[in-house]
Amino acid sequence: MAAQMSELRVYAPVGRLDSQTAAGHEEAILALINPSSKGLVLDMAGVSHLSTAGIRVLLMVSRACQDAGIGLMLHSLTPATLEVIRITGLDEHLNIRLDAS
Amino acid sequence: MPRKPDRLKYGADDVPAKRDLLVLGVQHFCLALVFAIYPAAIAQQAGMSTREKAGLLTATIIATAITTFLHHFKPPLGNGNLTIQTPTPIAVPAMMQAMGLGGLSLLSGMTFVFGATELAVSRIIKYLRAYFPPEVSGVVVMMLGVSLAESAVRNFTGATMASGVVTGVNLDYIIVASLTLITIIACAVFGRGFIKLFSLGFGLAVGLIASKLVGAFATADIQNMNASPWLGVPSLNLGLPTFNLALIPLVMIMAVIQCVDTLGSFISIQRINDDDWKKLDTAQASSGIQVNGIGNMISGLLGGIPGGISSAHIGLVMASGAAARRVGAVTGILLIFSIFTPKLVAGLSSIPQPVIGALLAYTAAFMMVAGMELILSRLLSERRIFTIGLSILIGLSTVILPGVYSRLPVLLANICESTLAITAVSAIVLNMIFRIGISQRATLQASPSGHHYETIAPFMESLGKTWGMRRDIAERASTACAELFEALVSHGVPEDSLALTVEFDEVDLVMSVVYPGKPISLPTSRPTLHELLSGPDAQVQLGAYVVRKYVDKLSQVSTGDTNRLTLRLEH
Repeated sequence: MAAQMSELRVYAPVGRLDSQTAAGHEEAILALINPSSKGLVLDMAGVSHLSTAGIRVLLMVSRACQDAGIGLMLHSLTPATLEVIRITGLDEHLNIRLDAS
Repeated sequence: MPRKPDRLKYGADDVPAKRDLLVLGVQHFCLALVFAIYPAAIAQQAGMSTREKAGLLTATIIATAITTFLHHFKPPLGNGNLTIQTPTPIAVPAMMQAMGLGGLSLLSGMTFVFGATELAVSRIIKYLRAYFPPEVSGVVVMMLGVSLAESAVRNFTGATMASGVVTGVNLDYIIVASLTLITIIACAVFGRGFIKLFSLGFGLAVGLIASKLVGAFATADIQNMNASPWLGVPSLNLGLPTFNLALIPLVMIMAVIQCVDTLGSFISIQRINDDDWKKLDTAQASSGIQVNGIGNMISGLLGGIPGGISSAHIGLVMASGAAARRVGAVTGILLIFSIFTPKLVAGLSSIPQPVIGALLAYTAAFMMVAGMELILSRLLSERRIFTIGLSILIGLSTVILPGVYSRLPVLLANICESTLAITAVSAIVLNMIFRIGISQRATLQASPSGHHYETIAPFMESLGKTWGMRRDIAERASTACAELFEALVSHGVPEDSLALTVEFDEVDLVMSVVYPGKPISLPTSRPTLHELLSGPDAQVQLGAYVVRKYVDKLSQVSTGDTNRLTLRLEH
């Protein structure tokens, strides 16, 4: 699920990102954060369901990236995933890129 | 408070610059004039004199102008959006029937009944939706298209008939009608922006030029247009309205279908105005339907035909990025001014037969597909499939075997011999019959694995098919319930004590969960970022907050150690 592209680190969660899977994903993503890398990209295309537990993971990762001084970008979110983030109003705190490029 | 989308230059309450206001008003006015095709088609079918045609058009324009102007006020006087009233195709077949049975006085009476029905149901339309679900409305809208087909083909080809058999067609008419239709289709399919939006107008223009070249204009209409002054007092076909008992049920059903259609228009315009749109503002919709009803009663008294909120104009709002309601006021004023231009009214009432044929063919095709789309907008079960299939079959029986119901008592025969009326009545009755025996209540036990969404989503989809829920409502319900289960489990509620009960009555989808222990708090504001990052309690709060955002109403009652949470979604 994780890949390194030049200086960017990419993580692509697959399936549900909810209370059952949140802890595992959080651990895996936090392990990828490295102050020497250029940034972290979360490819959300494979996320079939995102709950608020998953959103909290995204916020924790965002904070960890800030602390490490690197950027975080979320891309390829499905409309349903994007909607739940927007409904919480937390999209302002996450760097979301709408297109997959 | 609506969140104005970035793509909108002017929101509903914005005040555009004077120049923009005028330009936008003229655009809506020009598009509104194209819809004069519907009264013109009724006049053509009935073989009205030029004076009667002008009177019919003038009355209809006055009523649509008043209604359009009123719509721009906020409720209760108007609806507070930019919505333009135009003659509605939904009423055309019934009005053609009225003209055939009792001439202009019956047409006036039936338009009045149409408006009075809208006024009567404006406050209860939400509850009537149970009897007019999308598959019923869809079947009726589809058959409206079928009902217009005969008139469309006859005008398109200029067919002459004797004893129900075609004795000849007019090649010139076919050429003019084909050019008109090809232009409309080319603009609609290949055009963009305003060319696409004004496809009917471009078709009309090409049709008029072609008619002039082949001499398809009626001589009397040309003479009337030449003799009409640029400025003058409008003429009306004033007279006492009459009523026909056999036609009233059909007109009332069409009026309710128009109201249901208007709800759809309000969903569209409210979505355009609000990036955070979640549910229909029923106060606006009820007020809009009420104004439509009053406008159509005025139309009836003046001798016009019914109107409705135009979806083409909603398209123009979207394309122009201007949703300012004051544009509606300008359009209404321009429409009123236009009736003092008898030459314009005479011009609109002289639209030649093949051009009317082409525009009716376009409308008929469009309505047939719009009906099919409506039918398929809900999740379908076997019961609903039979409701749709059987009512279409019963409707078509009048076309396949004309006179098949002629031996019934006169009043009943009049209803049954109308393709549209018998389809509508069949769909409504079958829908009610097939609802019998459907359990409108179901329960789901929480998954012990904790995979709540994966258990709830298929359960909701299955219920959606049986009950005919809207797809988006089933999805919202699934997300809200899964989120609620997660929040309750994080709150400390054991998974094995969680059960979801769902009830549906076409108007509301009600979900309830009973759980033991301390009641969960249901915040109305989101936990702060700091709170969310500090601890898991805030995540429970966020879950409950999201549930509140997904549903229309969330409430909790606690008795002793037991709590009942109720989630309500308006359907």
